[in-house]
Amino acid sequence: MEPPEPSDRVLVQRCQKGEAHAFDALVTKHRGRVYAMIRNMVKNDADAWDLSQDVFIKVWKALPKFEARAQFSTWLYRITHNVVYDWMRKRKLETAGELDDSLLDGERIAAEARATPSQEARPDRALENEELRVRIEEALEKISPEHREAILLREVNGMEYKEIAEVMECSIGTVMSRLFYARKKLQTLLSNGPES
Amino acid sequence: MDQNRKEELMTLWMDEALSPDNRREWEPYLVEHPELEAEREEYLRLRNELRAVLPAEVEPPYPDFFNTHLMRQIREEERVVKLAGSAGMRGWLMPWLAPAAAAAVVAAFIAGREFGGTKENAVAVVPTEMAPVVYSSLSTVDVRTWENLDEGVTVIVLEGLDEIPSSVDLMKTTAALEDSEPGATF
Repeated sequence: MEPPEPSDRVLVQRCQKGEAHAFDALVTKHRGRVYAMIRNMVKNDADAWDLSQDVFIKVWKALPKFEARAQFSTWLYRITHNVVYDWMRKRKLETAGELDDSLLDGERIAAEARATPSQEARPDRALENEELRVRIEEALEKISPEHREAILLREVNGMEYKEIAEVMECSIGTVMSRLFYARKKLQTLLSNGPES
Repeated sequence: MDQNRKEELMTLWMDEALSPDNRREWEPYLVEHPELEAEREEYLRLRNELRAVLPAEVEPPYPDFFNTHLMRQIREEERVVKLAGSAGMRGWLMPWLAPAAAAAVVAAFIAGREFGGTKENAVAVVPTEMAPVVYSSLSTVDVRTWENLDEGVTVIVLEGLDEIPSSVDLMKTTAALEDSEPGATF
């Protein structure tokens, strides 16, 4: 029987004592989540690979200051958030291909606005998984990075509002507002049919 | 109910996270807007699709190389930091540097005359940790790097590749690769 995998806390403590093998184990344990998150944000495998490297280099540098009372995975996602946004700022991706938020802002979409597509416009249930993935990824690309990240952290990574707020460095109220509008936008974008 | 409150309650409702107090506040609003039930159902379906097509975890390509490359970058950064630190010490060492260097040259000359070996043109070519990490996705190909620290030359040795016919013009092939595959390197 294999010994249980060491917890993040144990691995972090060993890293802080200078054990390179512990850092290697920490990277192996978390690289898949970091890479997936970045890839979903930047939509480019090569950039996601390089940015994931940058994340773990920053983790290595900051580990001596990491306090055990914090949750490692939340801290890791926060570093990931900073690396991705620094990269986006450099590439000025925020404006490229961005959906015009003025069309979907709070003044124009009320909480009770109908986002459910009609039966006729509803996407074909028999859509292949690959087509569905492409459509969802295209829709995610059209919403703002803040909305995209909130959706990914909540729906894909299953984070609590408080954790998302820590990662995105904002209030819980802002997280809930971002989730509200991101969901509305996604539903609207995906309800317009595959040819939209 | 103001807009911010509606956003909060609807988000909580979508996530099935309404507290009893929140529920008491939300339900009258829901009675006035029954269409929200359908919207919620639709979103729950979309959430399932999101989770199905966007996994939370995806191994990066070449995961072993990911770690190797990372550790190499870290070592390189640490080396640079150390060099920067020693550069700070160079200031007070500077007055002693010239006489020390002259003494070292004289000592080396004498040692060369006394103990000089037969390999007159020997070059210190050593495999070193500082050489670049080169990775091959082909398990049959063995990759080694050698670095001549004195000359600043690095040699990459690939063993196990298929023989390249002499008729192949490597320069043309490289150019064609670069044209056809952005990011491809030879």
